[in-house]
Amino acid sequence: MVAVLFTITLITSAGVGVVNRITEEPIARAKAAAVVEALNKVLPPFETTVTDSLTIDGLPITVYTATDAAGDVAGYAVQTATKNGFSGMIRMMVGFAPDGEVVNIDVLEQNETPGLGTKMADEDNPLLGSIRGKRLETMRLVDGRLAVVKDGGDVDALTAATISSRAYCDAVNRAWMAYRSVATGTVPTDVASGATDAASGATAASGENADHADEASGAANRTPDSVADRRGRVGDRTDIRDREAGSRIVNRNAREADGFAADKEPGARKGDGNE
Amino acid sequence: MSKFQLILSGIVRNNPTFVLVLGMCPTLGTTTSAVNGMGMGLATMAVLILSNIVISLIKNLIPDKVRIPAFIVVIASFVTIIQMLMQAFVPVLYAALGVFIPLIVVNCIILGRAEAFASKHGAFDAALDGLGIGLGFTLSLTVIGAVREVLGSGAIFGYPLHLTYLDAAGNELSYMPLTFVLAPGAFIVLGYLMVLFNKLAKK
Amino acid sequence: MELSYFAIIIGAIFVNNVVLAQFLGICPFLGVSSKVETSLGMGAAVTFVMAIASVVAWLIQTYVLVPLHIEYMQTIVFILVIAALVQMVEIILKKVSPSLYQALGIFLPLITTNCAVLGVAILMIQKEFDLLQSVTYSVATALGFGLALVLFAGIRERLEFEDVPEAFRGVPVALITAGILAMAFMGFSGLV
Repeated sequence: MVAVLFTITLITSAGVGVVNRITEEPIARAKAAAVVEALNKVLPPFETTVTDSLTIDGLPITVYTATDAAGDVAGYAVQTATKNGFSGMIRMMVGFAPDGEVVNIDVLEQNETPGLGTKMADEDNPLLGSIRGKRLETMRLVDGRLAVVKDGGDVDALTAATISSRAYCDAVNRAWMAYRSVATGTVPTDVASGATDAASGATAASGENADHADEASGAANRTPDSVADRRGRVGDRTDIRDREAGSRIVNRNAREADGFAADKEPGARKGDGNE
Repeated sequence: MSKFQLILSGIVRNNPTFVLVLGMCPTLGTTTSAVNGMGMGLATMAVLILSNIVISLIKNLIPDKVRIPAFIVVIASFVTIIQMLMQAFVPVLYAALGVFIPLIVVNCIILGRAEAFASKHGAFDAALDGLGIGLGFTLSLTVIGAVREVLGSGAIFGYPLHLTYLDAAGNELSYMPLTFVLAPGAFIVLGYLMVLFNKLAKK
Repeated sequence: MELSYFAIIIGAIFVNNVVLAQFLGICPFLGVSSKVETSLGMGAAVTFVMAIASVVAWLIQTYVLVPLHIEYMQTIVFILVIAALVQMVEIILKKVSPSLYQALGIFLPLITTNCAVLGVAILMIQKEFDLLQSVTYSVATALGFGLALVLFAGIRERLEFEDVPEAFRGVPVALITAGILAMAFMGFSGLV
C-alpha cells in the first residue's frame, strides 16, 4: 500500500525532474531577457556590461557597469531590492549616468496594492519624477539617505501609499550605495551613523566576510551572466567578466525613517544583518 | 450522454464556479484582469485534463486507502510541471498569477473531478470531462476578470478604455472605483454574477 | 530590515487577512461558517495544522530541498506533509473530542485542500522568513482565518432571519457579505 504510493511519487518526481531539466534553460533565458530589457530601459545605449555582486543588509544587489562602443563607461545599472514593501519584496533596476545622475528606474517586481502602490511602476509617477535626472547627493538627504517628504526628504510620495513609497526610497538608497561603492571604489559611510548596532553583524569581520563572499558568489551565479546588448540591435559580442568586487556588509542605520513598527519595536532590530 | 454534451455540461450545468462553487480561491484571487483570469483558467484546465487522464489510467493500480494521497501526488506533479513551463515561456503571466499557480494543487475542482469522475471512467471520457470543466472554469474566470477590470481599472484585456477625467493638476483620474480590483470587489462581483448566471441558466 | 514580529502579527491578522485580503481559505470560509461554534472549532484545527505544517515545511525546505537543489519539489512535498498532518489531526480529534469531530464532518479532511495552509507555507518561503518568523506568520495567519470565520458566522447567523431575495439566497448573499466585510478590513491598511 505504502509501496504503491511510494512508486507513484517516485515516478511523478522523476517526470517533474525531467521537465525541470528541460525548462531550466528557457527559464534562465527568460530571466536574462528580462534583465536585458530592464538594462535597456534604464541606461543610455551601451555595448557590454561587467557584473558586480554585492550584499547589502543581506539582500543581493547587482551592479552592471556598462561600457559603450568607444570603451567608455556609459552608465551603471543597479538591480536593487527591498523587503519593506507593503506586500513584501520590491525589485527594481536603477540606472545611473557616469556622473551620478539618475537616468531611469524600472520596477521589475512588486506586489503592492493595485491602483495605489502599483503606481510606482507607472511611467511618470511622482517618486520617479522626483529622482530622475538628478544627482542624488544634491537632494535633501536624511541621515545621508533619500527620504519622502513626510520624513524630511524631498521625494514626492504616492498618494495613500506611504509604505510603498518608503520602500521605493529604501531600494533606491541601496542602489545608490552600491553604485557609489562600485563607481568610486569606496564603501560609503553613512552620515551620522552614530547608532550602529555593534551587535548586528558589524562591517567586515573577516569570518563573516568569508560567509558572505559565498553568498555573493551564489548571487553572482544566479544573476545571468550573458548580458550584452546594443540598444535597438541584437547583441553579438558577449563579453562579460564576473568581477567579484568582494562582498560588503553595509550596516543599516539603526534609526529607521519608516513606519509604525519602527517606533513600537526597537528591540526587534537586533536581528539585523545576522542572516 | 454524447461527448459534446459531456463538454457542454462542464460549461453550463456543472459550471465549477457558479454552480458547483468550487475553486473559489483562485477565482477571487486571480481575476484582477481578464487576461489573468483567462491565464489561470487555462493553466488549471491543463492540469485538470492531464491529471484526469493519468488518474483514470492508473485507477485500478491504486489501493483504496491511499487513493487520495496518490491523486494528490499526481496532481501536484502536473502543477509543478505546468508551473515550470509557465515560468519558462510566459514569465509575465507567471509573475502576475504568483502564488496561485502552485495553489492549483489544492483547487477543489481537480481533486473533486478526480474523485467523482476520472476514477470511474475511461481515459478519453476523463479527458473530455476535464476539457469541459476546464473550459467552464476558464470562461467564468475570464468573465469575472473582465467585469472587474472594466469596473475597476477602466480597461479590458489590457486596453485602457479611457473612462477618465482630468483633475486640477492635470492628472488623469479614473471614474471607475478601484474597489473592484481589490478584495471586496472580488466577492461582490462574484456574488452578483452568480445570481445572474443561475437566472440565465435556468432557462 | 526584517519585519518586526509585531508587524508580522498585525499584518497577518488584520492588514493582509488571509481570507479577506489574500483570498486563501475561501472554500471552508463559505462552507463552515454558518455557526459560530463550528467556526471556532475549525479555526482551532486550522491553527494547529498550519503551525505544525509551517515548521515542518520550513525545515524540509531549508535542510532538504535547498541543499539538494530540488526546490521544484516544493509543491509536492509540502502538500504531502499537510495531508499527513491532517490525517493525524483527524485521528487525535476523534479520540479527544468526538462531538467536534462530528460537527466538522467533511470539512476536517478538507483542511488538506485549504489553500490557506499550503499558501502560507509557500508564502513564508517566498518572504524568506526564518524559522521563528515563519511560525509567527503562520499562527497569526491562522488566527486571522479564525477571526474572519467567526465574524462571518456571526453575520450569517443573523442573516438566516432576514428576508433575502430568492436568487441571492445561499452563496451569493454570503459572497456579498464577505465583500463588505473585506471592505471593512481594508480600513486596517494604514496600520503597519
